[in-house]
Amino acid sequence: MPDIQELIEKPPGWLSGEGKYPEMVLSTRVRIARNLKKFPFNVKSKEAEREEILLIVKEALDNIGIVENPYYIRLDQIGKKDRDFLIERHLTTFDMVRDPAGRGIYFSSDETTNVMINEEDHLRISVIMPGFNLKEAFERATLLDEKLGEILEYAFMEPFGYLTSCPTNVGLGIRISVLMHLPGVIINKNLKSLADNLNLVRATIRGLYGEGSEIVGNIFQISSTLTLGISEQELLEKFNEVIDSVIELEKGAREEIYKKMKDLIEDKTYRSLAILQSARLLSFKEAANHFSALRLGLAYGFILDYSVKTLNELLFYSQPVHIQKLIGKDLTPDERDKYRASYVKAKLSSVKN
Amino acid sequence: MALCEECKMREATVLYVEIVDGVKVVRHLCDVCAEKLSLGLPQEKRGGKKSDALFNIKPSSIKGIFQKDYKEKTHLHCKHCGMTWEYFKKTGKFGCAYCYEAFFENLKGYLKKIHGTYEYRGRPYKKSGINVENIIEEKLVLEKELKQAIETEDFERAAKLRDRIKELNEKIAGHSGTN
Repeated sequence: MPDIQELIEKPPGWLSGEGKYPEMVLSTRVRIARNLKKFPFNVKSKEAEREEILLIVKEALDNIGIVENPYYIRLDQIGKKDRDFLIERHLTTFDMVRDPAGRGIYFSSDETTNVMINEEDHLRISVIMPGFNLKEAFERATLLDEKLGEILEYAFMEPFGYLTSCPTNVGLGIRISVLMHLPGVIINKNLKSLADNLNLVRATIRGLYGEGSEIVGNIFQISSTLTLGISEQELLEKFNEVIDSVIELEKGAREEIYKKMKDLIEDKTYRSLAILQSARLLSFKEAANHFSALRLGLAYGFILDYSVKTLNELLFYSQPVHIQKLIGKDLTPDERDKYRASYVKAKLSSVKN
Repeated sequence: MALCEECKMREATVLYVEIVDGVKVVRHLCDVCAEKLSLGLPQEKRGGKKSDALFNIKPSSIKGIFQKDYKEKTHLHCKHCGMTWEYFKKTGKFGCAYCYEAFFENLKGYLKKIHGTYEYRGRPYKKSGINVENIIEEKLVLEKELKQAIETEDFERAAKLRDRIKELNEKIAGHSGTN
């Protein structure tokens, strides 16, 4: 069992701030849901069955060997705090953590490839790339899926395709999603309208942690919802088009804002920077909103001292469990705000040119 | 009885949703016209209203037939896992792969409602001839036995088990494609 503390020391590879539109599109993820034919889905599986699935999938992954320097973590063999840390890291989900028995994750050391074992479906293969990089995320996820599908027997049936526990995933079993920073859309009060438009093109918009999560720091997750009546290639093309449209929308909003209120935005950037450099107490939400202002200020060229990578790391390491892992002990919410403020202050002064 | 907006002859039974220049167009159509439209067959006339939209997705790049209603058999249940259609409707989750057979009749309509279609259009799924899953399972059992053998200091048995596990490992490696 690897030490979770090892993970805290290096940020996940997909936060590197590389790729297309790194400031606006933080990351691109392709997730593939698969089930083993001979086991019941996880709403009906018994603990002994989950145990068997866990062993089989792990063994298959070990043999395929394309997940680089893999970590394998059984969620029932680590503490609650560590499980919560893995949620913040996007390596597991609230559903898995709620009942961790017989559930596990198998991921590459750079955290770009991850297989959740016994989530809602037996396998959730996921590849996350930095920036807007649909093609590579898709190719990598598909390769792993194909290798696994050769040696494991997936549940598949015509005319429906790959069978999943929830019929919203049946067919391709593929969901594409991107994490986007959309302050322009928010300032222009276009979120509702964006959500409606996305709905029409079979996509959905949610908060940072996906389904049911809150909006934090103007960061959104936009996901595809279509899995039937469409080929993998068509899905890829269509979703590419959708995200291009959202990028254009955000760009347009930012131009409009720049024309209308450049001084105001520049002022807001520097006020946010000043608060982050001086505050003695910072809640995650407050910090995230100021990071958003810095991101926008960076895009406009108001500030030049910080990279997208730094801003990505600030956002992730400011999360409640990350802060506690950085300090190495359990903290009350008030204590967290204090340590967060000092972490942010130190990070901002250390990376400045 | 509402008439189909396309042919104005048959009864409108489906809600047809189409994106024309980024604008959602909802039309009440009969089965025949809806099927024609979704296949991209020529129509006698088309009427798409235009209004401001955030997106400019190409016309008719996304479409689907959303069944307004479908006939449902309420008393179906899956013999394999015991899931009932009623319970599924409450939770939205199936119990096993065989549920898709057990609820087949209802599913076409149900999937049309959420996806606009029930047909898979992806790459065909090809599994290799040999079931490596079974080999993996056998290996896992042998590994347990090996552990026991070592604990009870039955080294002769342990050596045999180790050889067998080695064989199985080679078999698995031979079919996982990378070795």
